[in-house]
Amino acid sequence: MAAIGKNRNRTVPVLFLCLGLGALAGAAWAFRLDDEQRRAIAKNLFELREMPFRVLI
Amino acid sequence: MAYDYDVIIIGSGVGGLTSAALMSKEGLKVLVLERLDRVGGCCSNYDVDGFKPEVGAVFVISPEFYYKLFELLDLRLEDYLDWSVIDPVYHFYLEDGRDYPLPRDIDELAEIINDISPRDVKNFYRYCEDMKKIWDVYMAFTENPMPEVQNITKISSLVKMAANKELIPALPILTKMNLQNLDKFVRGYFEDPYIQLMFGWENMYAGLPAHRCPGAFAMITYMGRMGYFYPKGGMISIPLAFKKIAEDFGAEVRLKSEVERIIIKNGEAKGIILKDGDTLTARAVVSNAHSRVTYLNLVGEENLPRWAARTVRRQPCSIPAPIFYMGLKERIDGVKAHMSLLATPRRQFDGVWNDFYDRGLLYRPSDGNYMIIDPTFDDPGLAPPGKQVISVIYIAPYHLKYHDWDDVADQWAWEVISYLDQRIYPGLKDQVEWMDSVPPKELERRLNVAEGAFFGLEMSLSNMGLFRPNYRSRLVNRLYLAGQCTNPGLGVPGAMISGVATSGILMNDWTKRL
Repeated sequence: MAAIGKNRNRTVPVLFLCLGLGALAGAAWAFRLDDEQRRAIAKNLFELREMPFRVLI
Repeated sequence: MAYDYDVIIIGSGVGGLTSAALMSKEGLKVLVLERLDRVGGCCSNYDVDGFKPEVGAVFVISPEFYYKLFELLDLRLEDYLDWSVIDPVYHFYLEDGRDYPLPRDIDELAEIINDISPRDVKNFYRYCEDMKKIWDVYMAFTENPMPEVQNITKISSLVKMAANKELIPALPILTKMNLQNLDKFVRGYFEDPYIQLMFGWENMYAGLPAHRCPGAFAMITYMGRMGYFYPKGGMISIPLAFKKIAEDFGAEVRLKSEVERIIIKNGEAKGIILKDGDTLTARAVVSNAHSRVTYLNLVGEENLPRWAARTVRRQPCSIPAPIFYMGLKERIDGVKAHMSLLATPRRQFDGVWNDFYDRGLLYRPSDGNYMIIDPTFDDPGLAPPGKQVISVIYIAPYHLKYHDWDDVADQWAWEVISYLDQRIYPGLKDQVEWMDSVPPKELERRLNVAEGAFFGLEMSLSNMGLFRPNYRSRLVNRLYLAGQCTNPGLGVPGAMISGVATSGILMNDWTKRL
């Protein structure tokens, strides 16, 4: 049990580090987008959100 | 409860009249209500001193569907419609001053391509070979489509399609054309920007920029090789034929009868209230109107769950295709085909798309793409003797950022006329006897299409198939939908197929549910 606890202690910071790096990479990518790409992404997100409701019409 | 009619159909577009013809053939008491003084909706024409311009639809594509439909009706198409093939399919004007006819014959078209870009000839044959595979799938799938077309979005129908032996060789291309956008798909075949434009301008029909439009639209250009057709008397001949058939089977068609509301009781459609106050009851109501008009205006938001009203309101329409019509004092020499296209190279055009698609800016006339339609090219009877009628279709935003359409529509049309005069039709401006500019808001007022989008709802993947309004309403019992806003979508054959599907579902429900 102690060994498992130790592993978890190591895994959690690594996980947070990966998440942090992922967020940084995402932010860097988002900052590089031009207006048109941002609008396209916003439109796609909007469509994704609406699609489940459209099935019910 | 005694009903006035079995079925009331709102709108006499091709979808509504097809339903009316099929259901009245089965013995139902059908009433079609049309708010205008003519049938057809977007597939119609109107008369100004003998000039009869097409309102929207300009040619017939996929004639095999029409033959199938007439088979279903136990009638012969030749007894109702007299049409001829359009050849050249269209005439293409390039920005650098050259112009070419685009003939129907593949080898003749290859010669034209050789003149513009010799290295694209082999690409063209590769494109044709690939599109032929898709065409074979399409034809095999439509072998017996009409009675079962209502299953278009069902898994069983897709499984049946998957069992089609033509599908395997076409699968890689089919996948590519559905996953790639039109811009990328066409670039995958052709190198020259003009040739890319020739084979990839159909995003106009989708109401989307080419880089956001499904690659499947590239198929439309290939379908031109099978022939585009034009009926004598103009496109209104098609709805008129279905009106006559429906009436012969016992249906009633009332013009100038605008529907104010659909009567809803306990979540069921029970009939309609006309604008003049008359009430008519029916066991089922079919709406051929735009889905937004049907649900938000005719059913009413108060009869819908809040999420449903919001979803209907937010579902995007295709980009409006405003139009202006001209009656000319004399025929001008420059018009060389039923349909002409004046287009700018793709990149420039995409830039323009972004300007108006995203920012609501109106572009300069020289930056636009124009479809120029001369119905008198094939049927001189659509204008007074010796005269000519021309429609110019373009694409533009519904909301202008800096102007109001009602203020700028005429001025904009005259600017485009000057541009056409200067570029391709010398003397055009002086020949204009009559002009009618119909911007998106006016299209909305005249045809009752939301946002003036006569191509209906946007034809993007997230608005097709399961994501398009259902034939049998899931929100209101006994309410059915037909027309371009349902599946399969835009165009006269699309509306016609929806009419067949809706009538099939309704007839099936007749004994079980209604």
